[in-house]
Amino acid sequence: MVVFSVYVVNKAGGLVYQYDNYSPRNDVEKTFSYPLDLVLKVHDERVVVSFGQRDGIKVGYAVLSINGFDVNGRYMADNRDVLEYLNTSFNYPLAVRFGRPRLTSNEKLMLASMFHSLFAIGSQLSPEPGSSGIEVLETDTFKLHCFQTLTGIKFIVLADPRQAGIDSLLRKIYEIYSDFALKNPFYSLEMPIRCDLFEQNLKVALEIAEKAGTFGAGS
Amino acid sequence: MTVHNLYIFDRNGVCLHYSEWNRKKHAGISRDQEYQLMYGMLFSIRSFVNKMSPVDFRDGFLSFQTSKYKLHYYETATGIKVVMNTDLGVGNIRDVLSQIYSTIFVEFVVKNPLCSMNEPIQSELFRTKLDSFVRGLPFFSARAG
Repeated sequence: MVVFSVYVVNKAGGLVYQYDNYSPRNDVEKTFSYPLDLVLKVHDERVVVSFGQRDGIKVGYAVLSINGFDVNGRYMADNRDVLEYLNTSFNYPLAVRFGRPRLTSNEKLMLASMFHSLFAIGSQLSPEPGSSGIEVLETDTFKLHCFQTLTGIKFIVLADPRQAGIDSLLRKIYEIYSDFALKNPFYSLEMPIRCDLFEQNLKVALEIAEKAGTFGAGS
Repeated sequence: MTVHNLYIFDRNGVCLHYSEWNRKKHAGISRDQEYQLMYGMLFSIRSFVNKMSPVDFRDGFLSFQTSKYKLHYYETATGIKVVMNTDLGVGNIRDVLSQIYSTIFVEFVVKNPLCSMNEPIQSELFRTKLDSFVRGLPFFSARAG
């Protein structure tokens, strides 16, 4: 069982810390002949599969490399457009590697502030009075756990749905944050956390959580 | 255990149906605004979850919970969204939501030629069937505090 990543969001919705603990790679490389039997389109400066799933290549996967050379967004290393290159028959056969697109740091900032407002709306739309914001968000592949401190800082942990003991992990992270970020004289409040001790202790806490809490009866 | 309320949205975000049973707090905005806010939140959660997920999905977003309630979400391939708010004690009720879609929505709305899609459902039959179905659920309890 695994913890995928940790986010710390300040009270204004800004991302002050992010750590990817484990991200499974599921790249698929395949050799294609002309014409390509996948429909590709450009989305957010990436070339992604919009229709057609085969051999483990799924809709939403981005083109990562062509013939072993990494693709830079929607352009190839020599500044040619990926879509144009793939639409030219005499370039074939070629090997294209697909995979889930990685989040850029900009996207992470955006997602953190998005969660900040979702959290608030979740509490506003509550049918019961006195509700907090979103504490657990469940999907079939991961569970997002959020702990908001009294001062408004949010600690967010993405983990496997079966991973137990996340509540205590969140409190542990809060403790680590108080000890190693807040007590660091070089740390200015509400700003990104760049403290080595914070990171080291966080990694230790994650390791302990992964070893200890597995397959609990839901957390 | 209790069921608070239920929303049904179509693929364009029109609130086809809303009903409530034990709801103690209202959002403090008009109904239409509330539907829009709810749909907007679900729409954002869907795209949020899609980007955040480290691996590929089958069903995607299932539910979220706060300190007081739990929101269950079910979406069909045609984009009909069934959203039910319950208290925290209720587990996974995906099958219940899919039953609401397949045995009530399809039977009494889709198969009713007088019900036009993509506008709020007027059918009284649908309303009563849905109400009695929800009231019959094992986790529905009438004791509203």
